[in-house]
Amino acid sequence: MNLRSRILLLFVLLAIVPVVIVGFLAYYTGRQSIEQVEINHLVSTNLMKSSELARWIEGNQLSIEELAQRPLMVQYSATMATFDPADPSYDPARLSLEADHLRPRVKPAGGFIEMSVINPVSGVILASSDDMQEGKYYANQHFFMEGKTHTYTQGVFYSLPLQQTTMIVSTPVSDRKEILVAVLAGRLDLRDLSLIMSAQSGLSQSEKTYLVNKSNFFVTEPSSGEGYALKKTVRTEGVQAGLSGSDGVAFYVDYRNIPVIGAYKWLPEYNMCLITEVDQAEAYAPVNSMAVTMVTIVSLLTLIVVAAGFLLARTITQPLARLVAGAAEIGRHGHLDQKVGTDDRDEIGELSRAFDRMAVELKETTVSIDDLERRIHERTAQLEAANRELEAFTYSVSHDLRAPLRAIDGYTRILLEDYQPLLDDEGKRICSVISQGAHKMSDLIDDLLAFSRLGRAAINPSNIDMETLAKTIFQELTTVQSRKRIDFQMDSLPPAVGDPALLRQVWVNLLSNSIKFSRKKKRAVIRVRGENTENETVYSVQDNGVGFDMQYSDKLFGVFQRLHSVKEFEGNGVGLALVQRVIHRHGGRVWAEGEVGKGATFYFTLPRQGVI
Amino acid sequence: MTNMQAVDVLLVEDNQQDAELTIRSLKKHKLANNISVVEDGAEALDFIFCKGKYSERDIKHPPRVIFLDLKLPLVNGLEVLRAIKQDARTKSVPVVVVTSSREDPDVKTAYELGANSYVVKPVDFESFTEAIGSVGLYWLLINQPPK
Repeated sequence: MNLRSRILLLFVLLAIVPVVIVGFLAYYTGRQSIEQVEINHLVSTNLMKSSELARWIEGNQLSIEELAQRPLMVQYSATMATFDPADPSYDPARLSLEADHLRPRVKPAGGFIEMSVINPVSGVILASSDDMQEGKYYANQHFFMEGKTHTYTQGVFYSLPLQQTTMIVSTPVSDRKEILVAVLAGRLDLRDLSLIMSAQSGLSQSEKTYLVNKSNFFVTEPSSGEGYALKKTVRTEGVQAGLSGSDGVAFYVDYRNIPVIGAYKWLPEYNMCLITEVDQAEAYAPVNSMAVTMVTIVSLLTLIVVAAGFLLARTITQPLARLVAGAAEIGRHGHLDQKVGTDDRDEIGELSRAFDRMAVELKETTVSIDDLERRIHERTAQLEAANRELEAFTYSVSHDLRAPLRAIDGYTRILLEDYQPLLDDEGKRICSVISQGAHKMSDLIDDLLAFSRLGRAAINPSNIDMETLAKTIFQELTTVQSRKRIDFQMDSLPPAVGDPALLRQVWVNLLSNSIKFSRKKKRAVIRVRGENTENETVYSVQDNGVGFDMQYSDKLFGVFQRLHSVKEFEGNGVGLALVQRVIHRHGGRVWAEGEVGKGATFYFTLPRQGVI
Repeated sequence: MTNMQAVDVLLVEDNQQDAELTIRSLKKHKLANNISVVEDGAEALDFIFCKGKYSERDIKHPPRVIFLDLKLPLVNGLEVLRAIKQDARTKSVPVVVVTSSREDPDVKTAYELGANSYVVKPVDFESFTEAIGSVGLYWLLINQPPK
């Protein structure tokens, strides 16, 4: 993810996340409080409706009780209950009852649908506002039985004689002696109940209240439709809970398959359940609209933040991009004159100027490195030329110096051979000295060449078993006879890495020196040792020979430097110089310790790790 | 010119002292029947390929062995060696390279060009006589040339 995207993402996160969290909390608490308000409202509506229902029933009860206490009502009822229908007083009593007392209480004048006077003994209807009802038999009905003793309301039930669901209020009609003369019953208009129930109690559009009886039939019309009452059943969660005898609130899907919040209340005195519901959609409308507003705000905010973040990211990343391009220009093409600095006062501006300063310094460094390389190149060429000259010189020396020597020796020999009779002993001795001089010079030339060759030859390193090498060379340098005289002691030597031929020469020179300089001892002791230190391996060759004076120790390793006469010990003074040269070329050191007459110890070291 | 036809040894040597010592060594070994000496590379080529003042020589009778120094005036020894070994008429002639130095970087080149022997002239006269004598003995008496 690049820097710009990251800045943008950070911006969006910082701006949007709090808004989203606050929005969600607001929505959630809003919804909670709306739910609480709605639940309270529904419960109180239920309470109100149930009390309205009670008042309505009470009103009708008072109305029917008032009618039952009328003297004429009592009189006519008693007449009809006492006398045979054939009696001349029977019909007038019936007609008067029906016309003056029952019908005025029936709709449209009163509140009842139908009103009847029932014989308290037989249960037969004596008189009714509806002529069709006369003679019908109600002896087994609850309202009749209860109505004999007190005012009673029979909740909604299915009346077999009526062939329909109904609600009936009944009350006893008694004379002054408190003797029951009849039962007065009035059928209530369930449509009135519907009106009461559906009357809007709040501002809510979808709110509805209705009654459901024990058989799950609608008792009243829900406000949302017609033709439900007593025709359709309902088995929603709220209804089932209410019918099971409890009061409460629930969230469920209503008979229209619409999610609602519903309060249910069981009315035990009427065997009905009172339901008040409101659509969740309407209840939550305020929080939902708030949510919409919130989402809109968040979206707008996001857009603004993204735009602002984009602009900010660009002000940061554009100078960076310039820096990157400049660095690429310098890095890839070496254009150190490239300038990326800006006048910006911020950190990036500071960085860009620092970058320019770096480029300038880098350029100076590069120039000096270039110069250095050029000089190294020149020096190398000079050295190579010098080396070539040296080789040519060496060749010439070896070639051209030998020829005259050969002539000196050859012609001296010819002189000895061809002019022998003319030479006396002194002449022959002089010839022999001339020959020896020539030989000596020839040896010197050889040694000098060997020494100079060492400076040039390439070192071919490999692993070397120093112990075996030193032992072998000692054997080569000595005879069975001479070994009897020499006590050769050798510890186990650490292996080394180096040029086998050159290191062989080192051992040859050191061992032959120790043999040579200890040969005058009756019992020569030569000891070879080697041990590892932290960085190097130290080898040493010790003898008990003539030794040397330490004040001349610095001359030991010089070319043609000798501390003894040729007469005493032969040699050219090249051996130790050669040892030093080989060891130096391997990255090691050489030194010597000695005492005149006591012997000498020669040390050399080789680096321990890696290949030279 | 019978003696010019039947040359046993051609000595190519610019150093007259060395030439004299070489001839003396060969004589000591009784190998000095027919020795011709030339002093530079150009003369050596003329002799071998029968040109210039040696045009009367017959190339069908080359020397039986050539002692060749490498450091020569005019044409150096390696050039002479190359010419001999590149020519079908002369390439079977044994060439003994004789030089003063064992440092000579031309040893390898000489063998690559087909030198038959490479001898370093010792300073010591006895050794010198021995070396020259042995080589002469070998190439003139022991070695069997193609017919």
